[in-house]
Amino acid sequence: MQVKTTHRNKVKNDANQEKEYDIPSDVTARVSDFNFYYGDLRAVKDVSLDIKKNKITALIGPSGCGKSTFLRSFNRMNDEIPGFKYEGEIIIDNRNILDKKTDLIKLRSKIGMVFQKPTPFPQTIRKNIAYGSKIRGIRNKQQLNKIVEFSLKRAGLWGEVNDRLDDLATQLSGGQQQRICIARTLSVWPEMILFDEPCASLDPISTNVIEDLLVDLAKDYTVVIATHSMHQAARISNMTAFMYMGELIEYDNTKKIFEKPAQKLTEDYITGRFG
Amino acid sequence: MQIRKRKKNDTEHNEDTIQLNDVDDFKELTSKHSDSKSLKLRRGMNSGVKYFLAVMAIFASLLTLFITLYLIIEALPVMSSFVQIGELLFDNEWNPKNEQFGAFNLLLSSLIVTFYAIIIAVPFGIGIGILMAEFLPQKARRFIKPMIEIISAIPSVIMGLIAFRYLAILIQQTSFALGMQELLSSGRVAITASITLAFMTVPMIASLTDDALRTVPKNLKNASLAMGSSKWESVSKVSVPYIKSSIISAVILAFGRVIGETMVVLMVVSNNPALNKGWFNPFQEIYALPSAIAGEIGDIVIGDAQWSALFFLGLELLVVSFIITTIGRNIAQGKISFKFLRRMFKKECWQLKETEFTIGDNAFKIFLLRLRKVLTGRVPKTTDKKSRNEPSDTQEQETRAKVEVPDKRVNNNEELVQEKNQLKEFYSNFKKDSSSRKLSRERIFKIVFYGLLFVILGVLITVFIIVSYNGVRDLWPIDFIQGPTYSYMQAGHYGYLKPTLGTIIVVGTAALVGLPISTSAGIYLHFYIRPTNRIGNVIRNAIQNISTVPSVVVGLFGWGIFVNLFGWGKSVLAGGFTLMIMMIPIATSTTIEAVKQVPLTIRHNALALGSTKWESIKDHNLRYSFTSIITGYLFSISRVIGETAPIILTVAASVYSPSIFPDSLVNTGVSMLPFDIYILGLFTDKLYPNSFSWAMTCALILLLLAVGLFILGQILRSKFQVKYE
Ligand SMILES: Nc1ncnc2c1ncn2[C@@H]1O[C@H](COP(=O)(O)OP(=O)(O)OP(=O)(O)O)[C@@H](O)[C@H]1O
Ligand SMILES: [Mg+2]
Repeated sequence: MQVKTTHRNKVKNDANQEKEYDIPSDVTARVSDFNFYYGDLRAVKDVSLDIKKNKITALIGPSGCGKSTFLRSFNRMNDEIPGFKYEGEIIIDNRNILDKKTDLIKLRSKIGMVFQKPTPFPQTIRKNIAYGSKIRGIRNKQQLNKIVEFSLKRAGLWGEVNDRLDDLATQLSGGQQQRICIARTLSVWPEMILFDEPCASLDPISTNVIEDLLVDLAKDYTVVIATHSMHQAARISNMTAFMYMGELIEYDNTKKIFEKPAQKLTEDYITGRFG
Repeated sequence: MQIRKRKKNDTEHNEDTIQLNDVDDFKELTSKHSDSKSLKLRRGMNSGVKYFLAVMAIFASLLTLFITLYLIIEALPVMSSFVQIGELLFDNEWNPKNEQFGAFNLLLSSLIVTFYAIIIAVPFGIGIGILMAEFLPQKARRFIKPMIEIISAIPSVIMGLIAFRYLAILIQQTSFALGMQELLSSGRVAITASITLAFMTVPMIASLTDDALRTVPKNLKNASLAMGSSKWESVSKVSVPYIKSSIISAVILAFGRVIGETMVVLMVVSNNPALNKGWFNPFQEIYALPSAIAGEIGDIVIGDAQWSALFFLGLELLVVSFIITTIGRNIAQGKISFKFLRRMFKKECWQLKETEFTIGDNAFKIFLLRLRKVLTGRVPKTTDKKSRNEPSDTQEQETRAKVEVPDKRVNNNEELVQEKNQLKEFYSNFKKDSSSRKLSRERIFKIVFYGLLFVILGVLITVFIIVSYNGVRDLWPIDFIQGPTYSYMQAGHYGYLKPTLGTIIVVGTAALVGLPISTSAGIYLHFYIRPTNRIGNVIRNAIQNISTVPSVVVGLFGWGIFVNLFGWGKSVLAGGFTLMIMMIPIATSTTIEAVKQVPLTIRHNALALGSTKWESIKDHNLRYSFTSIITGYLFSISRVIGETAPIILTVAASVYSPSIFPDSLVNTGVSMLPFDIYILGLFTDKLYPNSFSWAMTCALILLLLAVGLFILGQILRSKFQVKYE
């Protein structure tokens, strides 16, 4: 609470100048008083929280509570939707990324995103991974190959596909496709990666693989994951945010949330006593 | 370096392990470029492309406005007063030599020929549509549907010539054989053109019906089937009513398309604006609006009254087909309800009570009163006995009403039981004999529909046989590389290289200019304008509206602007630019259809990787839908390659010119296949005994080009398309 008020004052004081936010170094993104509207529908309401660096933060909550909407705000993918409106602040690297002047290209290479449905481009594996670098002007074949190799290794896929990099990525299994998407995101070296129910359309074994991967990735990246599965949140996340009808009900250590939730609503949801 | 190598060797067994300095390398690699100046370039490209696309879209959308404005400006001299406009619209003396420009009978002629064409086409179109959607086995469907669609790829000039040479004579002979000389002394009458146009319209109505039937929800069909209705019952009682508005809109759209058709009427019917045999008699000679425009424009003085009058005709034709098409589209989109249509067919709406008008009222006021009734639905109450004209009729109605509607007040148990028993009886009877009756009805309808289909396919095959037989009859192989010269023609042969090349050059020019514009406009409309955006919708509708402009009107515009105003003369450029206008709406919508197929999530993934909007479109949507876009191009080209009316107005034939290539892009005649078909087809046999078979060879080449492009497109589409789940 304290943080929030001081922060607000700051904004008021020097509204027109380059703002200085004193955000602790272990926080990648600070969200304050964030609201999101689809036209008249307020899909996210007054959310304030800190996303911790190199930790996995899980967003849980019933369907339609605004997890995806909130997640998509970090890399401004919501801008693709007609009639969108942001309110409040999301501070990343000392900047409010909700600002109109934010460079979306830079922002999106800093904050990667993996979507629910595995969506490799209908091209070869190599081209899939190299795409992000190519549009940034890297033409050198050797460099590109290195990037492809590194990204695939980091996504734990190199061993499975290194002998068929020039095959269509769409021919891989669902779990592999999703890891292609992760590798593709890694290829531009983001600081933070957003996952929107990355395992929703995968079988249990692929889900396991991806979960292990996420835990591993958290060593180098800040990870935020929206998930329907409370078990998944409990298994892999460090912090958990419970959202309900667009509001942030509770945000705390995962352990705390699952063992001793402060709110009745959270407890009901976690114990499955939910309508 | 050394350390790294050692480490790599250490962990060679585990390929997925990553070394620390790899990470550093990688960081350096990727970060080096993220902030470079290429970012500025990319962003510049992004907005530059956006503005370019917008300009193209706006240009395309302004074409209809240009055309309309230009027609109005040129027609102004004859529209200087309301009296004059009234005369143009409602007088029926069309006699340009005496400066009499009453175009009423011209419009009426167009309406007659179109009306009967649609009347004939509707049962065929709807029947075949239902057959294709509901009854044809999947395998047959895959074969029959393209066959039907090929009909729409046959250039109208070919159909016109065949109708002129065969159908007209057939009809005349039939009439003579049946002893009906009085009714029909010549075959060159409206009904001949109507039959031909009907054949050409069937694929449009059929495929619109077919498409609409495929939108009927499966569970609706299943529900009706589960209730024990037969397939035919489910089709006729559930599916067809469900798509009623689509069918009506298809018919109206077909009407709007046919009314602007020029070549068939021009070639088949003898021009006669008198309409001696009454307003709705199709067995008479007529003079349709498009024929007047295409036929008379050749020999008039620029800027005189007839010139203006012809532009007025163009305007009239444009307005009529625009209104009809707009009504059709609005019905399809559900914006026009049927209440109003249904009311139109109610007798009461047209009857006026004595109290509603006085004897002194003029016809116009009575008309307005009736119109108000139809529109507002205010129907005179039938209880007012005095106002009724036919008392006997009403008494009958009353007695019937008594029988049908039981009085609720005397509703007691006995009656209920009775009713129940009646129902039971009814249903048991129903079950007993209905299934056999149902089946036989289904069989009858199926037989009828198959009959309709075979008639159409039979005509199609006949057309192909006529064209190929006559086309190869007098053909020498050397004709393909020889340009037609006077002496060569005297010897009984025609050269086909020149018209073929001419067609390719003119249509190629149209494609070269038109396709980039259309593609840009399509991309802009699909990606840069939200579906809710008003201005976007205006642009979209404006581009779509170009397709409602009849081809002869586009030709008139091209003739006025490119041939005369720009001073290009009748030439490659004038013809190419005119055809370009016709190509734009088709190619724009095929582009939109193509890029739409790529799922949105793919582009979102690219955006999330930090691509600009243009990059996400170019690298993904355009790339994956590339074959579809090319298919759309082929389709658009096949659509305009047979256009004849605009060619007649903007490209001069040079049947005798010695050079195979046109010497210049402007002010030089070009030989083109559709034009040669028209010219040669109308040559009398005395002049050149073989001219008909020359025309048919041209037709064969044109048909092969048009149908070939169409089929090539279909093959491309089915073979090379990227499939998405
Ligand atoms: N494009 C959109 N336009 C309008 N409203 C939307 C749009 N997308 C989502 N919404 C609404 O916003 C609210 C939050 O949706 P969101 O997709 O963020 O929920 P979610 O928590 O991700 O749900 P789920 O678990 O089902 O994915 C919902 O009420 C939804 O109806
Ligand atoms: Mg979601």
